[in-house]
Amino acid sequence: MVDLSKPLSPTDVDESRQVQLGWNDYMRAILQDYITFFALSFVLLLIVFTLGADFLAPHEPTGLNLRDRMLPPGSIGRGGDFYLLGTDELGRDLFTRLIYGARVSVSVGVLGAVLSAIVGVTAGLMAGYHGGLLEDIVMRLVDGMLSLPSLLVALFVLFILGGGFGNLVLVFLVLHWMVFARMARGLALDARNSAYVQAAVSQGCKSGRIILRHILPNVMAPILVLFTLEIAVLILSEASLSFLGFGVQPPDASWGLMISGGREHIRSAWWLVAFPGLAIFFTALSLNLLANWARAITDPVQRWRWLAKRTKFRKSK
Amino acid sequence: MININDLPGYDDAAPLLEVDNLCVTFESFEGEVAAVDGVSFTVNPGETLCIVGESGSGKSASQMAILGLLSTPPAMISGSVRFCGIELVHAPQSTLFTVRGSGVSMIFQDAITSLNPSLKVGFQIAEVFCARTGSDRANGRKYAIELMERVAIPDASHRVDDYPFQFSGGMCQRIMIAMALALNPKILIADEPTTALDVTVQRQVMELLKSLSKNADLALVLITHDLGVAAEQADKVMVMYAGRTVETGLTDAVFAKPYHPYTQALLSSMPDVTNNFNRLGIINGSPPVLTKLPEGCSFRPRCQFAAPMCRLNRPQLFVSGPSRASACLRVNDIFKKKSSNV
Amino acid sequence: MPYTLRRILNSILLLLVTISFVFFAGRMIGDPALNMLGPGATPAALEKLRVVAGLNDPLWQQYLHYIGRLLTGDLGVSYRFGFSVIPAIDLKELGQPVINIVLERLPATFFLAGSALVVAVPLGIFMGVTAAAHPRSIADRIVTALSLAGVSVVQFWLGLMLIVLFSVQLGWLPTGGYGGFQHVILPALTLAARPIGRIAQVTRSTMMDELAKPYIITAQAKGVQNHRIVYHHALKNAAIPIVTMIGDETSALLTGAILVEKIFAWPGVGLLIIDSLSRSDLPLIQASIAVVAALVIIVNLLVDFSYRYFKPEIILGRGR
Repeated sequence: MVDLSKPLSPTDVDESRQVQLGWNDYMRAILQDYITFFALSFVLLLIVFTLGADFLAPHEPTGLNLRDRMLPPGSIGRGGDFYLLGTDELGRDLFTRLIYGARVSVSVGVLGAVLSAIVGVTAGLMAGYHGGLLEDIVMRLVDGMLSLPSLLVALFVLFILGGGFGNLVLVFLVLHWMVFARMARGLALDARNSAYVQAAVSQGCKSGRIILRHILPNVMAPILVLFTLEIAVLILSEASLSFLGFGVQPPDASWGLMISGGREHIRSAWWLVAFPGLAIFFTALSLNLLANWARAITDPVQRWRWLAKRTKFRKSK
Repeated sequence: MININDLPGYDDAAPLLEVDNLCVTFESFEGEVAAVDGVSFTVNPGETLCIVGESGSGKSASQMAILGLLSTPPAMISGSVRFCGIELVHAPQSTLFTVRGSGVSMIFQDAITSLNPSLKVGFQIAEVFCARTGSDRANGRKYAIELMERVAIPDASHRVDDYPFQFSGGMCQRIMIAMALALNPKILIADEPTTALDVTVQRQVMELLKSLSKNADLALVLITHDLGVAAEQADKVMVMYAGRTVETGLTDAVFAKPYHPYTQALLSSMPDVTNNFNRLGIINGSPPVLTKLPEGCSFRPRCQFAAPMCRLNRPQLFVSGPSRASACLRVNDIFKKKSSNV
Repeated sequence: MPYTLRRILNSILLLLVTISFVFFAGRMIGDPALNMLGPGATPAALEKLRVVAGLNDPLWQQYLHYIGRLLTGDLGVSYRFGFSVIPAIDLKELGQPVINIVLERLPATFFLAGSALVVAVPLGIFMGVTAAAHPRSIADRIVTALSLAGVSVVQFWLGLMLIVLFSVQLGWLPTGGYGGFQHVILPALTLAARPIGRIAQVTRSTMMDELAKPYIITAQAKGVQNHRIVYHHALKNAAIPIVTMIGDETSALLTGAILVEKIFAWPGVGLLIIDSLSRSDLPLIQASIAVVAALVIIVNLLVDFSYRYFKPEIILGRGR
């Protein structure tokens, strides 16, 4: 019989699986997961090109070059320049324009998502944590605004205010904070009843501090997943709005504008429409894939399964 | 619809259920796990067999494998299971569908979650009956009411249109039983039917099962970890440990004089209010990790009678008495000595 | 049933708020007269308009008039519809009731959206169910890939690409315009791409959760056939998130139609909205938004009311 008056020696302890996994294992796992690897690489590449556009772009984004207009992808121009994706009606290199357009499209998306997230998460966490009248008001607002057709409202507001980068971000903020708020409120409701929050309360923490320093770090994971998805949504929205002429205005170039510009020449120069669209497609796709992967990683069960399939499982003695 | 009698291999004279060296292996990341490792038993008409074991002993997995309820990519099944001579392991879907419900039925542990929450109770009870006999809804409903009355659900004619969430746990278990009896099966497998219920309700459900078994000549296979239930209800008992059978025999005999250290330990760890409230027996060590079973006898690390020979050979189940079998290599030394105090 | 009544009242309130917001935004930001006649209007025309449309009255008075007329179904008149240049004749005789204009275009949009739904819903559900019933199979992978592609693609770009392929290169289908099968197929497919993706995604994940539940094993043990288990037992329980999402996608369809109608020159409400935006036809814009918002709200209501069929607990209450 086991004598419980003495502390248990290690041999009595269950031989549970104790696996320590380090960065190397994660890296190796990513390399083996082709899909996530592709998505991650694409996004990183996009970031690099967006930031380093001035250095990495092969040509100038603006300026006329009528000798080389409307060249199909892969052609060599009169002066010996190589145009990877062809040129537009003004002779500008499409690839270069895509890179500079990425700046606009991606930054609108990211900025809009960041602002929406800040406002939405704040509102949601406070509503969920404090409950009562605040929660009622916020959630009614959220439900009401969520049931509106957002593209339509965006169009109307941009019609009244005029288009442009700033107004676009503003519209995104106003129309997308609810998504974050709804999720944050749900998370706050769960957190409110959890042990760590009750411990903090019993120690006399003020609610603001609790929300900011206790709850927020614990709920970051699903919020980040949503954030990634929302960037994709906003990039797609920007494309639609710019295409209709209510988003980014010329001379700024965004992918959506490029599609609308290329539309007139669709019969003769299909690449002017195809490649910007493909760019948006791959960006949105990569972001979606990354969000899926992030969601899996944050769930311990799925994380274990994902790792185990792709690494050698090291067991401790 | 095919009849059971028409299935290939049907043999009137064959035992009702004959399981022969059934193995269920799962592929896991740490290697193969043998959840069920060579289990054999027989069930005759009208008998009640109790399968006793801890969680993870393989008792549930073995019964699910009988009806082909484990999805075969993760699980790999080998061995033989014959219902009236019809082979069920790796049988085609059509055979399995025919045998399920009308030959062998199964009920599960937590009845409320085991019922479809958005379908009416009467519909769920009569569903397969209507499908197999081609009856219409009205007849099915009537039949469902009959069955509900048979399992003693009050006010059946009205409650037949209710949903599972409107019933208590005990009532739901009765509904499950009614569902299982709809096609008049010859065997009912009950996987821990009373574990989630209160003690008084447990009793009622067990008595219901027992009376149904008697009246309808229904064989029962009861899976439980509760020795009390086994002692009361079962004709035969089979004790499992770490996926293997360690002892079988007639209930009274086994409980009076167990022929395996594990069975003995289980019995002595039960509180006995007739005694002087001595210290509860415990079983040393911890439950087996199926991916790392010890060599030889899997109970050896926890066995107070372990000897060097127990490490060498993996014991098979062998006959150790009239209608009794044990998988302990030292049966004769430990248990059969005239002077052993058990 | 008080619940039903509450929901309907809520919806009406929401609609009213939306219409009011649009009204005030239109009258308060910028010059409403300009927004009604467009930048090319002469100052004289603008003045005439202000008198005719009552734009010089105090705002709250305008609002009350507007709401009053709204209740009788009159959403105002458009002075720009049908005219690309502002005529110099008497404005009062020109105005066409906006509500008629919008309602006239509605069937075309319904036809388009309906066609897209008819394709998207069964296909999406079938894809999701099949993927969930055969996890990790090839079908599962294909469905996952297709649904991800569907939600990542730019709808109008897809439409343009389809035009390039089928109209320009292959010449099989017309590039746009209103009509029967030949004309509706490309825009409907374009509109359907995203809903197919979303429906398949959500169906697949809810069904996977559902198929892991204990009652599925019970049904199997009873001897119920697999296809019945999937489509009759599991799908009914998985229905609520799926139906909610179908409702969302239907609303999105109505707004997505805006872009698709423009690409394919499909004469529905979407095209109307775009045209009225580019011509600065404020009353028409207001009315279009009101109608589309009303439709979206109705769809949401219908989705809500369908819950009682799928989850009896909600209506009957828990337990006895």
